Amino acid sequence: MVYSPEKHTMFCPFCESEKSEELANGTSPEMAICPNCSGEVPIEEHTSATQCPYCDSYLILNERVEGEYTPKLILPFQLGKETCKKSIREKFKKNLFAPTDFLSEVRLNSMQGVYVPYWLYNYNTHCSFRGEGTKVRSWRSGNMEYTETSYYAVNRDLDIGFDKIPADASEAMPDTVMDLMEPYNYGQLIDFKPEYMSGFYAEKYNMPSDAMEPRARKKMNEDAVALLKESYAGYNSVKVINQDVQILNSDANYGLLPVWKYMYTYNGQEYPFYVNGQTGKIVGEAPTSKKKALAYIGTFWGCIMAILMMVPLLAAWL
Amino acid sequence: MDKELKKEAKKQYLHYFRIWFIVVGVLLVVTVGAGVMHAMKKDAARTNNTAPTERVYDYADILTDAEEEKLREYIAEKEATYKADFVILTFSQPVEGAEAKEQYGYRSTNWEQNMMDIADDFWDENGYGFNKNFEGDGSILIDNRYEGQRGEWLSTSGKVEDALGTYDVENVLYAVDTYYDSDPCRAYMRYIDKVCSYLDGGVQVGAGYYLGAFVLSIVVTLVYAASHLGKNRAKDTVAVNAYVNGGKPMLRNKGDDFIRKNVVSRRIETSSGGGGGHSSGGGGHHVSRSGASHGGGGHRH
Repeated sequence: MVYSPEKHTMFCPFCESEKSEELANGTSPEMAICPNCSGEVPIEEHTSATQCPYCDSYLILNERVEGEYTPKLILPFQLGKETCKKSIREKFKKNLFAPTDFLSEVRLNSMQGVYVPYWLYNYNTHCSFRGEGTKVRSWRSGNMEYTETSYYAVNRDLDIGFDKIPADASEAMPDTVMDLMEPYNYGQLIDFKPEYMSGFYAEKYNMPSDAMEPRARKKMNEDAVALLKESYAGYNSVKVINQDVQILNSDANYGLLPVWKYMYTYNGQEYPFYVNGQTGKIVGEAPTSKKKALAYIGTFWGCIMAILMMVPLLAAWL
Repeated sequence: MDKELKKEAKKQYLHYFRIWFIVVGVLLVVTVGAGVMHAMKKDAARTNNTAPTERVYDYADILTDAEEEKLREYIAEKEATYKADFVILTFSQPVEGAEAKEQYGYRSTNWEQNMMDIADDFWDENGYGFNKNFEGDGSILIDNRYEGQRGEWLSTSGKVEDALGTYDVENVLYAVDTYYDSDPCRAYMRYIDKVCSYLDGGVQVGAGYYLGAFVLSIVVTLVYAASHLGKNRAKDTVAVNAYVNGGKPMLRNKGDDFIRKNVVSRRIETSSGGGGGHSSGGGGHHVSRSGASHGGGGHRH
């Protein structure tokens, strides 16, 4: 049984039945028993859901989604593999010099759906700003030009509540990439149920919320300062005298957010691609095949030159 | 797998360049066809047999007999190749002023107008032209050696008129000017060579065109390469209020209190200036007194 993003429910791709559950019990931190074929499935330190390499069925590791590791929230995959493949093809279709099999069906089929552990931080803040703003106006009279500069004392006090600022808690996922995956639409966040993990890979959080909090706080501070700046827009220039973002209270929730991961290997180098499993936003850079680039650029140049060479001959002879 | 991949790569390559290959292929076929037609035209026989056989009229007597003969042979060879008549006329008589107008019956007192009329009339009245005796293919260079009114005029007709624009006529005349005083025979041969080069498509465009075409092709190819080498990087699309409750902050206090102001003034510097320029004009195409179309131009020395 796997979770189908298209059907929004548990689904068996073989008998097409819907809704069921299957959980596996781990035997050791490095190994789990597949409930379907009883095969020993190797697992990583933080893996909470994976695929059996023998029978291809998906299994969820009970002890890694229970107790302290129980996610409060989950955003179920909204985009299926086929939709993501289509999106990747669409985005990289102009990368003409990418290797021939880069967008091939076989390669794209290796794409994996992963629930990435996130800490979602809430902040209630009071933000204040004190500064001196200037407004400038100019006018002409006869052959004289006048410039008037007016100075104002600018004061702003804002209460800003930040809701679920995400910071991924997975060492395997690069922070910069995960930041670019944002934003997620939290309207589709629901209370966690293990069944949504079926059919996908997943990790439990790799580090506690305290460890990730500085990242979220940095994002919050940047947004708060930007919102303060927006509040005093309209001045020609503003000199900051005092600016403060005070956190009144905060908390964090553990949640799982959906990401499709496509790992393409070319000339021994790995090119990872990540697709937001909800919005379809893609992060990743296509590799360039030097051979293909040379062939295409050379042919293009040859065609242009051939046309430019023949045109004057035609003009003279016709 | 590797074989399949290569097959797929080849298929993609051919599919991508199919339009380009069709365009280049069609152009190539048309160019080869045009080349063959052009070569066949070159073999065409003379169809105007009413024009005089003489091509060199040295009334100013500035050429030796040997030079005249050399020119006649050279012209015969070029006419056979380029299927166009080449005539040279030298003379020495006034072509400017009221006196000359009255004496020779010119329609103008102007040097250029009269040189043009003499060249056109000589061509038309003798019925020159390789293919026909009116507006036939060919050109005439007249050279007036009258002291104080020296200079040459080139009159073109038929396909030579079509092939030579104003700029090209100037180039022919500059080629003549190089040897005008030092070696008139060589100057006239340069006139024939230069006109022939414009009749010969490959030489007509000149090295400048090929250099320009090469540079242009490199620039276009670089733009093409750059547009397809783009990394397609993802951008940060998170709005500053993406995680703000209600989408906007709650404003508790807003103050914009006026403190002071200052005014500075400056005198506006005005400058006056005028535009200037020069105009150029000209054009070699005109209709002669006999009603034939001619092109050409002249240089006065």
